[in-house]
Amino acid sequence: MNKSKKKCVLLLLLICMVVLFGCTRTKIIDKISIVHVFGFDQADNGELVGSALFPDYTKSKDGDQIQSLEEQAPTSSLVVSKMAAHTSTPVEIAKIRVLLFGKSYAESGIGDMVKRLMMTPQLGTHIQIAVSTHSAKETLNTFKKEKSLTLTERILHNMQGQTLPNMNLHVFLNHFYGEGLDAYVPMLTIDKKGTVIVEGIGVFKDDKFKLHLNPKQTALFSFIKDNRPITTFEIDPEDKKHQRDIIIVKSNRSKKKWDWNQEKEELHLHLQLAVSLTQYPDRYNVDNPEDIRKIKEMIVGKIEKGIEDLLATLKEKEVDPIGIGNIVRSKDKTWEEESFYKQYPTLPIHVDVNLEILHSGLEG
Amino acid sequence: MISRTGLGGEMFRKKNARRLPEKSYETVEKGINDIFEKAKKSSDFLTITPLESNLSLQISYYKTLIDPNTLQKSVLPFLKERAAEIIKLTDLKNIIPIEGIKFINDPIEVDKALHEGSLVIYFKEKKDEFALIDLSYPRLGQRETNDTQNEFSVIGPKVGFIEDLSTNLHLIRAHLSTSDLLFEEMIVGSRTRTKVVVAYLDGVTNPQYVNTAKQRLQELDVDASFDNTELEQMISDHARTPFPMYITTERVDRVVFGLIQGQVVLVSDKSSYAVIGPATLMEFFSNPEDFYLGTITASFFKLIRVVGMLFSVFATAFYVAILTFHYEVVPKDLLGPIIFSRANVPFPPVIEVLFLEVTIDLLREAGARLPTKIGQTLGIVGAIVIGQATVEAALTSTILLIIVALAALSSFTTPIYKMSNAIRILRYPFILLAAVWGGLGIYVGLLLLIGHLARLKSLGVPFLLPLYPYRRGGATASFLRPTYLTYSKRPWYLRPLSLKRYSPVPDKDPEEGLDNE
Repeated sequence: MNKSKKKCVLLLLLICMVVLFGCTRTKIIDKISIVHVFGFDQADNGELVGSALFPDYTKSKDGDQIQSLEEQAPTSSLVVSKMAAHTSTPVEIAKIRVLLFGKSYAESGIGDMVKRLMMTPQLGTHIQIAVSTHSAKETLNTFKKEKSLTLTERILHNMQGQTLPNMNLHVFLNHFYGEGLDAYVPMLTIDKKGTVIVEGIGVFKDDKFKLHLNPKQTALFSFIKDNRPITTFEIDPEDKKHQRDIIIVKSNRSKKKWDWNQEKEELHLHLQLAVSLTQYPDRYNVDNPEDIRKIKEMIVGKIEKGIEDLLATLKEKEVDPIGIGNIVRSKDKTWEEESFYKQYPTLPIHVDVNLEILHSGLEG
Repeated sequence: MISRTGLGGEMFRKKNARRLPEKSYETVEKGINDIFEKAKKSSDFLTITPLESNLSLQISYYKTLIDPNTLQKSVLPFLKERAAEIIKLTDLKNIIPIEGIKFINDPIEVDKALHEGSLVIYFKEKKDEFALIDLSYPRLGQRETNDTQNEFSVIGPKVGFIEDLSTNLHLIRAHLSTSDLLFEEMIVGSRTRTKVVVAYLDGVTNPQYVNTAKQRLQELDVDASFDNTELEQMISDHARTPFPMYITTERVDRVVFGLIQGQVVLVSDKSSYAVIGPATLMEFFSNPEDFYLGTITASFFKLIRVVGMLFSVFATAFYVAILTFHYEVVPKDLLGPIIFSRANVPFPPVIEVLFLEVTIDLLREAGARLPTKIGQTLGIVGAIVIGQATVEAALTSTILLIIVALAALSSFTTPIYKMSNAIRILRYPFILLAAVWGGLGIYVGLLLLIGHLARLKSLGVPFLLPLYPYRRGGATASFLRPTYLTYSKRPWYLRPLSLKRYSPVPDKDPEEGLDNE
């Protein structure tokens, strides 16, 4: 290749580069409105109401200057462009870390929205998706008063160290579209003092919100769902008068084994749970193996009962957030979604909990 | 390309190099009278007639080049005392107690000798034979101290080269007590006639490199060679590259280590820098001090230098790219401080960065040019006053100030000055690319940079060796400092004639097994 030809190729390459990638608009960091939390509700006329929170860092670096936006539009993609009319800088959604759905909107079906989420490359799949018992707008406005945007952290640390089972958009999509699985999301609510709190999980059936599990059920749920659930679980005393007789355990790890009996069509759950005793009645001496056995029996009984109740609730509502359909599918080649879920509400599931007490006494 | 030439060995010829040396030296035949006539125009050229006799013995010399003491004490008294014994010119040998009196007829040689500080003694009537007495005074005008001021080390020898060739050669020869160490002298420059010595270890250094270096020096056609750092560029394979193709150092230990490794060293007169070649990119980030510290500490410092180099090139470019295009990669808690500190800055990030980077380079250049005492003040003025004032005047953000300062700091960790300059310059194209195409621009720039590095050669050896072409075993030693157990062999990718340097003592407890006896 001679020299002038080489130069021609180089020039062509440069032109191609400029033309091909030269069209990106700059997004200078202080000249954009970076949305952190986005909520969706359903308006009375069936349109979508989007509400967004974004901080104005140019006024304060702590992010306590929070602006809120609200706009109503027929589809979600229109919401953002309509929001831009209210702001002096472009609205950017790539930094969204929590997507919040109002309960009434979730109950009417979020299928379109989830499809939209998948087609929005700006959104990462590690973001949190949650449902609020109040409308998303109300929840966000309450949260705005706290002058911080730590909603993700509020959900995340509850997943890592408390009762919530692990969940993010990535896992959510798997549950949402996967066969033999139903999606579940963390629930947010507003308490009496007017702060936003995390309370249990909500379960979807297909794309419609069906069931809200309370924190106690959620704790049992994460025993079954997570591999290392760090969950505080309390066992109420039989006798309500002795409130001090409460037993509190903190789980450390759980191992599950599901057995599917093809002929009898029944399922066995063997749950191996390692817990530490955080609080127990004074009348027990944990150095005494006999006492430990008693405590164990009591806890196992309660947990087994709790899980059976939880499974019964799930079966009654015909939702399957645990993915029992998926588990059976892995053991049964002839599995079919439709016929299985017809049979699901009456499917017998036997629970067998094997408890191991790691250490007790001092709270670790 | 490899070719065979009259030098008797393989070598790498420079691209488009002249095949035949057609030097533009002035080789016009001149008579001795022309030479003396021309020289007499200069006021420091003297011709004296020391003896009041009919012998008419004359002595010519440049008084600025000779040692006047020797002339007064060892030449003139003996001439006067034993004037009667002088009949022929060769009788001077018996009279003057100085070694190496030469007798020649060639006027051109006389001219050369005059300029090298010789006395020329001849009979006035018979100007066809000349006696040359070397009275050169090379230490005249040389500095006394030879500390390594530019390549400093905390521990280890602090002896560096000075601007005198014989001192420098002495330093090398005194360090390496072996007859394998060979010096080959060549002359470069038609006007400066600078002596350049090619030093190497016979039986270790690949003759290809020696031949290449010698051939390139021979082919050079320049009038003046001021310094080795300039000579290095003249014999380099690539003129249009920001990277130095050879290591230029003023440290004796570095040169000795290069020789031991099987590299060629060029030392030249009037230059306090030695040139080591062939050099590879990773060598520029090693330091003699690495070998004086322990393996682990030295490896850490070496890694720090490599990381510093990367940081220095890419830090501000990434700042521009992220702030202009990729806000989503900034952690949520960092968004606040970055945006807040930039809130009042009226420029886009690229202008802000260029402003501060140019300021730092201005400070650096001014600091290098100013006399030492003012230079220190300037550093304080520049660092504090300009730094703080620009932030208060909302010309830059505080976070950028930290990044730029750190990047400037890390560019100075590179031990070889020429390489650290190259790194400083390299960041500007990256900043511009980042401003146009963001992260993609940095990626494109990196591709171009690696492409450029991959085609560089130093004395015919790929510059990126041993990383590309990949050579097993060499890559670890490029980033870390191996222990003496694993470092007993020369890097084989430099193709030395003998690989083994020493037999390492096995890493075993000497008292192991003694208890069993």
